[in-house]
Amino acid sequence: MNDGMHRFRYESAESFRMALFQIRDNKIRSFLTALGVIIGIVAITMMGTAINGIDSGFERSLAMLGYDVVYVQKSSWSTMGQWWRYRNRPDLKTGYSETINRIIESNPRSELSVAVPQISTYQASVRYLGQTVEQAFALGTNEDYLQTASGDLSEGRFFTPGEAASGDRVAVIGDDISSGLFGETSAVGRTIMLKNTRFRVVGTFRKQGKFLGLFSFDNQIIMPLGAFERVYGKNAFVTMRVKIRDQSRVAEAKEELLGIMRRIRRLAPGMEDDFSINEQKAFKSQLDPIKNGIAAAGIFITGMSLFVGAIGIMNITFVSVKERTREIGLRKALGARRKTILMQFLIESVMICLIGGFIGLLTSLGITLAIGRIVPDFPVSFSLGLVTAGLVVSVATGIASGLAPAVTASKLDPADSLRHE
Amino acid sequence: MPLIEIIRQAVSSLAANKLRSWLTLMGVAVGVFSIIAVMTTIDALDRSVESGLASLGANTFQIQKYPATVFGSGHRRNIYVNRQDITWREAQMFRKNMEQKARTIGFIISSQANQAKSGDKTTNPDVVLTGGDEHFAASSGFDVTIGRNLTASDIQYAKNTAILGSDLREALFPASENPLGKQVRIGGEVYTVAGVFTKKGAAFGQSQDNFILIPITRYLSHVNEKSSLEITVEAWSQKEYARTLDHAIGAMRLSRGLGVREENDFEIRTNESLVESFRDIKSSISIGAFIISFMALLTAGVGIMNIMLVSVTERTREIGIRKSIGAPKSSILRQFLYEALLLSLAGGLIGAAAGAGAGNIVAINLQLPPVVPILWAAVSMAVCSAIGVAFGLFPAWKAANLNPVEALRGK
Amino acid sequence: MPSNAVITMQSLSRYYEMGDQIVKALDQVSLEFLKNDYAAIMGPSGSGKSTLMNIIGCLDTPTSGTYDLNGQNVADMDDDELARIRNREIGFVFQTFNLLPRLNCLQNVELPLIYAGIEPSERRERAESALTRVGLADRITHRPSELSGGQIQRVAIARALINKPSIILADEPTGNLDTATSHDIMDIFGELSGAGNTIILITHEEDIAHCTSRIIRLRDGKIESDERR
Repeated sequence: MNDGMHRFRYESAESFRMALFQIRDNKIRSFLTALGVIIGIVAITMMGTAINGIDSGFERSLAMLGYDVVYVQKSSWSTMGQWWRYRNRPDLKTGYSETINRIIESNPRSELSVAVPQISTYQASVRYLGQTVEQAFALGTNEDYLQTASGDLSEGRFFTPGEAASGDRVAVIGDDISSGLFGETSAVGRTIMLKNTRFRVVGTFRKQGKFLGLFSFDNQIIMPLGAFERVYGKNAFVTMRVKIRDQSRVAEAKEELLGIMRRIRRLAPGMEDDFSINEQKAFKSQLDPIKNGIAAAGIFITGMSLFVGAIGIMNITFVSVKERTREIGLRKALGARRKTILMQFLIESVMICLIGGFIGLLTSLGITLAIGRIVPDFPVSFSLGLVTAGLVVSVATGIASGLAPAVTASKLDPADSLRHE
Repeated sequence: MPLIEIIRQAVSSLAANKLRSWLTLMGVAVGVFSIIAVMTTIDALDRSVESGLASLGANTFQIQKYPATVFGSGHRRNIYVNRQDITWREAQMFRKNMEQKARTIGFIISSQANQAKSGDKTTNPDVVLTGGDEHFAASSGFDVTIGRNLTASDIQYAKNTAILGSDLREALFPASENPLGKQVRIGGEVYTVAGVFTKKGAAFGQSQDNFILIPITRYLSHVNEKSSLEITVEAWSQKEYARTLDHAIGAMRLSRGLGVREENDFEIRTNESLVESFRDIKSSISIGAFIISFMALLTAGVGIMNIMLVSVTERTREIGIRKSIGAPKSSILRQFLYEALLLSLAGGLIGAAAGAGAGNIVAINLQLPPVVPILWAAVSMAVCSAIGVAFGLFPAWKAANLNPVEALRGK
Repeated sequence: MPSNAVITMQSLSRYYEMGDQIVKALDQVSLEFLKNDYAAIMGPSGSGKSTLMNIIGCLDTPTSGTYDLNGQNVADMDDDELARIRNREIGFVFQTFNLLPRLNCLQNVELPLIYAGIEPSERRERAESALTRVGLADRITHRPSELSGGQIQRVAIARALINKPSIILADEPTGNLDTATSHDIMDIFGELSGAGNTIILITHEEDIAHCTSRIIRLRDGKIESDERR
């Protein structure tokens, strides 16, 4: 056994040396063969990078909703298609937040931190002198709102508890609205019109970007609850934003909130919930299949170019076997066994693939860095996992494409091979 | 040497190394396959969305009481609660005012989330109950497969006739059963099936065929008299679009009896931005997919070059003999070039056929209409020829420039 | 059977199918080679001498009959066992393509030892001494392309000797050489024979055959004559 191990080691070393000779003596051919793998690996890693990028884009979007905020609403985010199930649920009331907060305060071990009411419409139109911004997202809430939302103020302030309590007509506006109405000049202190009511702008938000490219967080107009209800009525869409204490204990927090809400709604045990508690995870579970679909399609397409590369390697290895038939015969005459010959050709194809893989990865890294420099916003990320995957794929390609020719070589008849040509 | 002779020689020398030629050809085939399969799928997706957009496409707009749904459900309707419904009378007046100014004008009222019943079969509560007139089919792009469309008399007398969307027909009746004349119960009323529409397929992942069409007058008299109509106007052309929009606003104000200083009490919904953003997304996906799938073809080209170089080395002596009996450089060059071209074109044909097949299988699985990607097939053939020439040129040039004396001495 | 027989072949046949015809390359051949035999196998082309040499060299197996090499029945061995026998028991010298062009003399001579699993330092030592024995001690790092035809054959002989095989099998070893070099090579074979090696040559040149002590003539797959001198 030990003897066999030694032999295996010596034979591998010799095969390795021969592979290097073979590559060195057929430079153009080896380069072209490796080029097939290089193109394939570049395509795959670039695709992987893009998928990572999409992934982190999604993550960034989900973070906008907050990992430590859950949303009590009439319908569930995760089964939006089946909205008829929620049609008959009673509307939520903004007053629930006070009840929830009272319950939270009375329980020192509560998982929940604070509940903030929100009443909103997507159909606000904001005017300032001649300028109008349509389809703004108007939102009535109280002074605790910022605890449950992402985004920083770029200028001014949020409204005060006093303003919130008396329902003053003050507003904090998103970046798109302030730039749409006021351009470069400061919005703070100006008076804007919502329907026929005047509001004073007290603060503006820094630009946040779009949620999943669909819904902009920058066209919000945030005002005290009372002010909102005076302009848009009480029947708009109500959400309870509830901040939780520990984002690793979302499940427990949701459980507690569920109990509180059922108490508020006076639901007897066994009755179905007539509200939904939503969190960013719901989007994640909806988006993941889409993301995986994109990833699968992308990997499939890019895999094609690697597949073509593999065909090329197989072809050239067959050529190599044919050209070296006499060498194979001689080696067999000198005592090389089938496995030895098999290994020799496999090592050759794997080596070409590995070299191609390395160059391919370096190329991808270069491209990634270049893209990162030219378009800093473009979500690309080059990970160690990708490098490992690239190299593993290269080796696998080498084995897969080298196997058939190597088996052919190992099965050659020594007497015939010696006489070849 | 005549072309046919050169081609014959190319075929025979490719046939001499069958395994090698097949593998090379397969490389090209896989490369073309990936391009065609991806592009066919994208084309099919595109058709589906285009047809989904067609009824509300680039040339159409809607007039309705409430603004378009953007996100979420019906909560915000309350804002517009004081607006008057758009009535059948107003709609008819609108049509009269708009005569000859638009290609089609359609009226719809619909209610979502209905359950339909026929015999012992009941559907999910997601059927759309649509009230329309005899122009509905044309303005929404539906054809009748069996039975008939609504008629003017159905509308005039508010008859209880119904035309089924193809999904609803499948849900309520077995394929073997003729639904014509059968009774369907929906929204507490019973209707007699007079026809079935052809399948339009899904748009944006949502079926467009899960509905039942009844006379709009019947809808207003029996289902919900307090509903507001939605008017769909299709302009004669994209050029006329803006003018038609102005006409329509004017006509609608007239129908609604609005004073000069009064604001519009209806909403105009256009789809331009939707169509535009979809086209943007589609064209960037197409370009991206083309580039990525083109990589495979590039790899195949490299494979051709490699194998042609091997071939030149192996046939050094043959080249020497040809040269010694007077073959000119150009003839040797052409001989190898044609071999490369033949490999890539044959591979391209196989790949295009397989790719179109695979793309359409994906399309059919996604319930999209199949497409024949003639454009992409043509592009691929052109690309294949280019690749055959581009990657065959260097080896061919090398062969043509061999020194005959040394070539003869070579093995 | 005398105890000092290295090879014993009894009614050994090798048939080839050529289309629907059966060619009897070897037909009921019985032969014996003794230890320290120095034999030449002769015959016109198509007489079966290449087939006989392939079978003796364990590159091919007989269709029927027995073949004992050092008391082991070779006729029924599988590929890997045959490879082991070729590696340990037989030293080959071919007419052409004897050496791998990319390896130097030393590496070429070491090759059988790699397949035998011998460790590198011992490989080098043995290869050097074998090359010294054939008079090429000063050429060990040369490539085949830098050697003359005679030198290449001497490297091949060194390689054939390296595993101390039971027989040295040479297939037209002087076929590509001029007369003077041929005689140099035959002198080496003579020396090796004198040192106790068993050597079998295949040749069609009478003067080469006459350097040996036994001439076996083949015709149409049968032994025509077998004379010891």
